[in-house]
Amino acid sequence: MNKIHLIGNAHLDPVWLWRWQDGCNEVMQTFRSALDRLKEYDFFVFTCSSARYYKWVEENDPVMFAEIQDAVKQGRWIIVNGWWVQPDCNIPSGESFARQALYSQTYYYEKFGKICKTAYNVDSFGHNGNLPQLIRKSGMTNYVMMRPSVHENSEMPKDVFWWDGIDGTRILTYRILNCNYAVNGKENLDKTIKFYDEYVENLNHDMMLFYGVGNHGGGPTRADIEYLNSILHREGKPELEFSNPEKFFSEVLLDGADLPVWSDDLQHHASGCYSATSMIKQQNRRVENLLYGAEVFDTIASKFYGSDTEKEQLKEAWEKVSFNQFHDIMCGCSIMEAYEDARDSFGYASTVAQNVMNKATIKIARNIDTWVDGVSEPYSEVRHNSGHPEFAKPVVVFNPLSYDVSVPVRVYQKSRNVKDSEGNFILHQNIRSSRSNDSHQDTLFIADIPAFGYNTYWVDGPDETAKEFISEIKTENLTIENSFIKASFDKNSGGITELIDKISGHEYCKGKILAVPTIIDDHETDTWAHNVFTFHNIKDTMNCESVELVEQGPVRAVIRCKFAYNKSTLVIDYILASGQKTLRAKCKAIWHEDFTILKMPFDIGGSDAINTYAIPAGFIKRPTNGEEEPAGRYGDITATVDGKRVGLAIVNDAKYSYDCIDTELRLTCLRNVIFADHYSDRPPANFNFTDEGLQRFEFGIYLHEGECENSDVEYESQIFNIRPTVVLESFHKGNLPQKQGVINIDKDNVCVTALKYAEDNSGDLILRMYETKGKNITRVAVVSDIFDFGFYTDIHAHEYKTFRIGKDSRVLDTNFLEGLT
Amino acid sequence: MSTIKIPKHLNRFVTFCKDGDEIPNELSSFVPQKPDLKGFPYPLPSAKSEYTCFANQGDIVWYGATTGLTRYDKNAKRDADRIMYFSADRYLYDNNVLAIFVDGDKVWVKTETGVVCIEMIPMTAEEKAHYMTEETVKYVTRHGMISHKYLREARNLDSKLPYGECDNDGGFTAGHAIGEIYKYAYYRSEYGDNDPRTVKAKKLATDSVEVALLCMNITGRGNGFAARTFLTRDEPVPDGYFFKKQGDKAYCIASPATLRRGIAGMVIDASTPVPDRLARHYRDEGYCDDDIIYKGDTSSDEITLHYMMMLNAYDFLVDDDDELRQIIVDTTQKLTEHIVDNEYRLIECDGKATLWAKWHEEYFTTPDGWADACLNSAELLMYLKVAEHITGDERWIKEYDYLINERHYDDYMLLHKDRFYHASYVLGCDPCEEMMYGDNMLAIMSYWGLLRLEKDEARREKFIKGLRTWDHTLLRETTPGYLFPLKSVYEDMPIDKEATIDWFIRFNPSRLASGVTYDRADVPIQPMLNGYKLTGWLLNQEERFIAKYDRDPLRFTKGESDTRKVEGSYVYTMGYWIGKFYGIIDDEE
Repeated sequence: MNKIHLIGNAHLDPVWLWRWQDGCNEVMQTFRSALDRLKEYDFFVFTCSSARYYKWVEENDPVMFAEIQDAVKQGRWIIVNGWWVQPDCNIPSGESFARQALYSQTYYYEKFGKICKTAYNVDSFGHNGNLPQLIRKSGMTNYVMMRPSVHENSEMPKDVFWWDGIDGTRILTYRILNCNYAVNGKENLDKTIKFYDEYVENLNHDMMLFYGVGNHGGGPTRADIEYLNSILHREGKPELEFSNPEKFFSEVLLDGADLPVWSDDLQHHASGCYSATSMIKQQNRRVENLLYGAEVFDTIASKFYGSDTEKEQLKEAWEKVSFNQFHDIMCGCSIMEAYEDARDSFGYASTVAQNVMNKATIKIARNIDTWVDGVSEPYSEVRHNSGHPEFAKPVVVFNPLSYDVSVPVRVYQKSRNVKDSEGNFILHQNIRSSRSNDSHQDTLFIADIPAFGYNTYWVDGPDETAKEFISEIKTENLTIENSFIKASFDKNSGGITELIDKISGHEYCKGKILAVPTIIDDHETDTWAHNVFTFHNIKDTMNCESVELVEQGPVRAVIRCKFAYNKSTLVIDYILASGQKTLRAKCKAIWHEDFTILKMPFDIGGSDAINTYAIPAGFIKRPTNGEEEPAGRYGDITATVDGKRVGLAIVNDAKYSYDCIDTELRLTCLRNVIFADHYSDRPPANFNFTDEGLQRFEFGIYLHEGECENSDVEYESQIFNIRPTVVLESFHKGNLPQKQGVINIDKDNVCVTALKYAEDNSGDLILRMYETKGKNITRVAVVSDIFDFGFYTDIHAHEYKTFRIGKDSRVLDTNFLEGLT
Repeated sequence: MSTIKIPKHLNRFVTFCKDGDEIPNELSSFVPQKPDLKGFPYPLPSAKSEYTCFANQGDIVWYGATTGLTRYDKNAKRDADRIMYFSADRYLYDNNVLAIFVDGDKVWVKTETGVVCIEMIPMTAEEKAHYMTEETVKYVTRHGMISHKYLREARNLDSKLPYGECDNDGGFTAGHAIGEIYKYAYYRSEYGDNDPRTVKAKKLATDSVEVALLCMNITGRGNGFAARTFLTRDEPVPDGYFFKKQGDKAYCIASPATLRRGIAGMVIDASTPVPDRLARHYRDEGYCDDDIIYKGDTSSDEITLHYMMMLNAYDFLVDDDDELRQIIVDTTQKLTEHIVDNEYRLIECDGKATLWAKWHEEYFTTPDGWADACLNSAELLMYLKVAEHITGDERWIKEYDYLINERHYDDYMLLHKDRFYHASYVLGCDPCEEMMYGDNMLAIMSYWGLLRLEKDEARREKFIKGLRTWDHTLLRETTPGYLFPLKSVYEDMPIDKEATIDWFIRFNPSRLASGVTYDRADVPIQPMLNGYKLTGWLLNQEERFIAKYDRDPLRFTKGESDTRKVEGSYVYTMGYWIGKFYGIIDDEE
């Protein structure tokens, strides 16, 4: 007969309806309680997740921490979830998951002599389709989850199953039934056990019952433990056993039952959470991007100069990010005060990243040979901001991406001209700056920067004989175009009435107006939008107040659309730059509409439509069924129109939610609901709303022919998010050339997410990358002269690889833990 | 899919100089100069700091390092040909390159312990197939059986030892025979019966088939039991289940294995004569029936390969050879009767099943059999389908229908990937560590037979689903010997054109199993859960270990080298000739 494994646990939310300080205390008290129960009952076993909690105990009560270490050694305290917290499993990037694992599992290994084998997210709202791989690469092989519940997704296997990720990685997964993750009290225990008694009768494997006071901590009580101990062996009924998840999984395997296989993501629960509290989402993306770039150049600078890296600082910054990725924080459903804390800690992480980046780029830039014969004032000459400078000023632009880029770059001063490092004039334009003094103008030019590298440009030189450029930027009335896109705007609605992919020739509007900001009524849901999976109740569209061409030049043209609705406003600057395939939309909203969602729709028409959404280190296909979908840097709609497959992707720098009704893809720009409004009947109060006030964000429109994954959408979304860093340099000799790329990867469907040194201070290099088009690739060449390595690798479709490169140039293909285990 | 054209390509031929051989003086007077590799655009097999010298050969540069030799052809048409790596033991005496001298087409390389001469000689894929077959026939056969041979002296094929059985001789010989059958079929269809190529191919194919059938008939038990392999009186008998024939009896030789099983000394029937046509393969060597010692405890490996050998021989080889055809029919009938009458098992002399030849459901419920069920069910269905095709006996199709309709053997086939992963989880290892690579070929054979003979669309669809549960193992290798048989019966079997070309053009012409160096700067090592290691990319044949179809080609090995072993050629020849016959590949004009 099958068994019911009793899992003593405490569901600990470090932040939710309380701030982190209370969460810390909650952990301390719960752990004390659990330790006391272990002493009192020699059969009791306690299971708990999250490295952050253990670290809190270590920091605040080393004596208690030593007790926990002892209990772990005895096998009575089971650590699960080799991550910093139980994060949201849709929003963090692939690299964030890697860091969750790296810092946690190394912590566990150091403190407890082992790593976790069981991933554990009993409350996280959804689980992206790449999670099996992310879990395996974290050193874990089993997974405990709960949401979505059966009533939210009845197609998924109900309890134990093999879960296949997008790359084919398979993990053994257990789904907690009926939200039974914190059963406590005799009555609830009886009810749950009765349910399981009947349930396991028809099964070919055991089940788990999670007991213990939870959400705000607590853990198993004496009464519950004694009661359960008294009913372990019941005549004719399944046996109960004090157990732990690892034991459960091991017994399921030994049972030899054929288990169902699930090959899709695990969604939906709390569909509203992927757009609520835009601030936290924006901070997350922004800081992830900043940390990536900072670490890349910190590593490169360290290599150039043999200096120490800022590894410890960056680790601390990542720990802040990891904490803020806790599901109740990242999903925007905690109390308002908690977001002030989160903003502070993201601010800390952001400052660290920017300091590190600054230090590294200055170090590199100062050693580039920028000397010009005849310069007598090498420092003050470049600081000269008016009049007639004698020499062009060197500007170094840094690109941390693994792709070569050709993108607009801004220098905060006006220029007569711009030249590249070979002395050729290049396209530039003086544009309105954000300041209102002196010339009010900045310089914009298109910079070509190698992957993992930099390039030096020379601005505002005395040579006035600039080449006459034939710019591809054209404007006429309210139409802007370059060699890739043509977009025309409607002065009445502010939307797009003509949108042409100039490569394929396809026109996307076909009589419809795209990109009219649409307001959805959201009165009837709570912060999570429990049991609501679509947001189709259109309240209105925003009124267009003006559409005007505000800028035109050889580098870019800008059309500004202003909208208003009641007291809310939205200004969108549509920016089309030379050589760019994405039409950028820079948005500034001042929002006062309570219980609303703002969406930006694009209906491309056609048939056989399919959505493609960015997920952590990958992408997933979804049907265009109108459900709200979590997604990362892009969402795409591709359909057959006029016999051709064409697509439109919306890339973004701060958003995580889309929907698509048939062929209309909509970016969810903001969601303004009450903070932490949980099934509430809302007794009157001066409510605070999650997205009220000023919101700045950007999205972009990228057009393509053929299926999404065969296009450059990944590249476009990367350059949209990670922009070059600009350093105004002085004149000096140096041992570095004016242009250099440090690592070359010869295939374009590979994206790097980390370049760093190994955490163990060995001096080994870590390079992490994933395949972006869902295709197997063989013999990818990865070469670096500076770092003195060169290797080939096969990468399977969607595979996420971490390489550890030794000082002897030998390479280990390892996992997120860098070869720790 | 259009025919893949295999271009003529350079192949590596290495002469290992011995004491007394003439060696150019330039080698001794060579002054090493460290190459400037700053900015070199491609990964190199040695770290840049390890390179110590170089020599030019036109546009090609040979770089010597303390860790081997690198050939760089900046004009190479194929990506994989741009950088070639030569290492010990296969191409050098050791890896510390001290001097390089280019003399026209010859490249002399001196290392710490010796001198070699390397020549890159162009060959077509077909020329290579013939070269390898000749090497195999001359050096690897033992009483006509083909698996591998050991040498008395390192790298000296002429010093082959006359003995050296292998557990799966019968199976490997059957695999070799399949390749030869297709060579004959190809030449026959292209050039007709009387072309000398056809005539020669027919002889080789017929010989191989006869020897494989000999393994199946040599026991004399008369009950269809096939032997794994056989020895003659003057060969050493290793541990295992060996039976010595004596008149119309055979007795079980005492050994640790047979003592454990309790059958040592057992006397069993051997009165059924071996057909003369088959027995000539040892009688012509001067042995008589009483000189034969055969190995029992036969596994499904042999049985599966034998069935497909018999099917292919029946369909392509024996339409004008009544005698051999009848032997095939009789052997098929007897073997199938044995399996079916013994409740889907191969039964040893003590009435119990052999260790690895069980296809019955009771076995599928055991810990070992639970994962095996998926392959074994496919095997058994294939045996019955082939038996029905060859013998025409309706009993076999009834048995086949019963197993599908009543016992749902086709459902087991769908569970391969799931149970395989499950089993690896139980063992706490990564799937590739748990994998029995030899099983890949057994799966290929089973599905090949089933899809070739089954005409019912619903059943075919299910078989294809079952086949595709093997994708995770089959498609990671790009091995023609796996993919081509399947392609011939299943249109949608994916074949990577470029990888296929690379496979053929970069295959070693010689099967001397000297090892190569895996500790390379351009090859990441991927450790698995239980200590097994993989290479980060699938190395070309010339730069990885030489083995049969029974080892993971992605396996990272260190120090594994056997300069005293030569493998048979069927890894290449079977795939090649099947590909040629079905038009999947052809040599470029």
